[in-house]
Amino acid sequence: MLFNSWIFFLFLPLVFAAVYAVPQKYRWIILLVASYVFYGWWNADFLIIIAFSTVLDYFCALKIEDSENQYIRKRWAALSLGINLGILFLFKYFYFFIGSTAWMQDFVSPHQKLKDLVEFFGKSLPVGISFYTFQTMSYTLDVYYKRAKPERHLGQFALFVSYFPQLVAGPIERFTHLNEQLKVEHKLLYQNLQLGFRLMLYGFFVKMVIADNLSYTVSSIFNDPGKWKYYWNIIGVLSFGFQIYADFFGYSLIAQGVAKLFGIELMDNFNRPYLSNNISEFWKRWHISLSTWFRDYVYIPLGGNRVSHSKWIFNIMLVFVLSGLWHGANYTFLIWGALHGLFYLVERFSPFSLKFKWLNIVITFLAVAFAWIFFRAENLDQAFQVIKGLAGALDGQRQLDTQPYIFLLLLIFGILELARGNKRFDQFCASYSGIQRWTLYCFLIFCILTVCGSEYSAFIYFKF
Amino acid sequence: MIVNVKHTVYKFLAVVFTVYISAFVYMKIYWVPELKDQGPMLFNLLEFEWHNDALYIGESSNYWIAPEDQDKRTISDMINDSLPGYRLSGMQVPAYHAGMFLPIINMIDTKSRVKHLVVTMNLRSFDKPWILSTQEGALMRAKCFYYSSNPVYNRMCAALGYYYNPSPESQDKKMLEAFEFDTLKVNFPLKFNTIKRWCEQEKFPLPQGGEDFPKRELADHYIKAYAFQIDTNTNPRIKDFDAIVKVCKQKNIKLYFNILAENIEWADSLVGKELVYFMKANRDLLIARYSKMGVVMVDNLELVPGRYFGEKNWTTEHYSEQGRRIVAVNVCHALINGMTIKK
Repeated sequence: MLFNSWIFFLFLPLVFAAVYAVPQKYRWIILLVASYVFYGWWNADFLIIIAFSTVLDYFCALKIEDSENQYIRKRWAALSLGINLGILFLFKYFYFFIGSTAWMQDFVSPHQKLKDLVEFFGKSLPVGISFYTFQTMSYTLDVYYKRAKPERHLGQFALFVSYFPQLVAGPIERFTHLNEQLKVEHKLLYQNLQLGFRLMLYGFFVKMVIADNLSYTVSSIFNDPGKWKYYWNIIGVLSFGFQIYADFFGYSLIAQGVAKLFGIELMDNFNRPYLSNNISEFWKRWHISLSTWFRDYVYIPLGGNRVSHSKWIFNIMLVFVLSGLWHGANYTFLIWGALHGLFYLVERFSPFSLKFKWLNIVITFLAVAFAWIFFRAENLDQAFQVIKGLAGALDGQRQLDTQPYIFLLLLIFGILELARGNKRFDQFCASYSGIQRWTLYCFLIFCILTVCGSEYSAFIYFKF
Repeated sequence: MIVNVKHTVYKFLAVVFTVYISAFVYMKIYWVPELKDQGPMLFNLLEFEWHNDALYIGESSNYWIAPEDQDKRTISDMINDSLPGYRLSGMQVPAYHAGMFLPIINMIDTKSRVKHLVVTMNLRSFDKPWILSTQEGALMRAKCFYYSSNPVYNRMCAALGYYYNPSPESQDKKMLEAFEFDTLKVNFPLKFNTIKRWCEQEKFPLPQGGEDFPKRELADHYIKAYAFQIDTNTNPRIKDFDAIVKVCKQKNIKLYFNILAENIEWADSLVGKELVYFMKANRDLLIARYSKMGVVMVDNLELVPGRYFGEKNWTTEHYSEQGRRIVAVNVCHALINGMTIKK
């Protein structure tokens, strides 16, 4: 089920009413059923994977906790991680792996059943598999490192894994942060509804008005970069930078808003990333739940910055390449991750420092936007075509018929983002009077109704 | 939870007012330009209905033009040029079927000039590959823009996915099941009573050995496209055409169903008489059904020779200028009769 679908507008009030209608001790059942319905709406078959992951991690964590023997603890942790990563590999990387290794192809080709199996995994990607797999893996690791006590209530743990507002595209919550909140009784508070609806309204505006309207410009350019005048390629690439931000940020806001209606506070996933001074700062502001995951569970266990210089460089590149591959099995994601790693290292070793802050921001944004080309392109060939188009090497002559008001909307979005400073949108609104707030809400509703993208489109990050 | 009732009423009114203003502004500023892209047939209707006595509603068959054609006019243009004293315009979008025409016809203003309506009746639109096309979701999305409800409501339906949107996989699965299990029932001996078996049995051996695969593939297309029997109780197209008849009666519009020409010659030479039988039987059924309902049936099914079909490697209703002219003349005769009778 998509947040921006009509069925969600029926689903949410029903779940909301049901949750607050029952006593606290039964609420987890309502939320768990709702979460499974929410996920099963796409493909009920894939619920088996979530259920399997849940049961596996539940038992492995208990076994880890119950044992004092380090070897046994390690074995249970390895079992949990191995199976979780195995499932992720099967559904996300297996097809790519077979397709890109000649000897595997030679091995598979003569066996029809094996070929069908590979085809099956190539075609079936459970929505949000990377998100919930990483969330459950962090739980196992937290229990293993004794940073968290395991949950002994299977139903409660299942809810932590599948809590619907953040199930398919994050934020990738930590067990200690989310589970405790899910267990506590939340009263129906006007303030929670107020904050929740604010976040949701802004989220829908950002997704449906900004991201969806930019998608036409972006897909036209990426589908056929050679067709357009070079400056349209530049506009297309920059537009994708804003589209993906608006799309993912919009999703995160709606997720936070929906969770807030139930009294749950989800972590912030974004902090105005395009105002970063450098790549390192960008990764502290962009998809924060994923970057902190990689920091805590990959980078630091590898030694962090307390290793030799060459090992550190290797670790940095590894973490960035892995975060690229986390998004999907494609060389484009690998290059996207590697580019960020490279930018990070160049920045770190660069003897130059720019005097003007705004220039740093512009350069960082341009570097990020350039890397987005690989993220958006379906293959390397398309990415290089777009780059050629940027350089004006493709002789395209056509003008794109993008509606000019889209750029005006983008400007309004930019002003709102600048105006809210470091405050979250709901807190930002709270600093204004009722009339000012409601003028803004009415404006956002007006934009959604009159100029939102009319294409029914899923969130970009759902496919990861 | 404590709620200030007065404030809540104000907030509610503010939202209602915003929705009202949004609907007004959208309708006045954005609706018509958006229709140009999202709902082109309604865009045409809004323009044509006040200046035309007749409308011609169709799909790609109306505007497809062979590169070598000297006469580049569409079928509807040819009809218009042959209708002295009357004006007719064509409205067409590729892959549209009667289910898409219905809401458009519903939108014709009874006070408008339009009193005659020619609706394309494409035999293939009754078959499973078209009914279960993977394009159906996209068509249903476009259909949102054609409803008579408030345009803002319509566009929100499209944006929030409030339309029938089957997945391509489920459509393909249903189609394959239909090919395998839907049986053809006739009162003469038929070797293969399902599409799947029929296709499997078709062979095109080459003199030097092996098989002529392009020919076989084309024969398969013909079988899948035409080897069916219209079930008037279940076929969704029948329901659509029935509804069109009803709407036109209510609006007092004279209705003409234009049964498009199919490549009978190729169907016969590639697959055989059995396939042609199904094509004709379906045509006869449609003529009998809708003539009874008072619709003027224009039968072009067998009129266009195979050489006048634009694309030889596919089952389409795309005609060269001679083919278009044959269809246009036939429709024109029907219209002149209809218009004279009315006079």
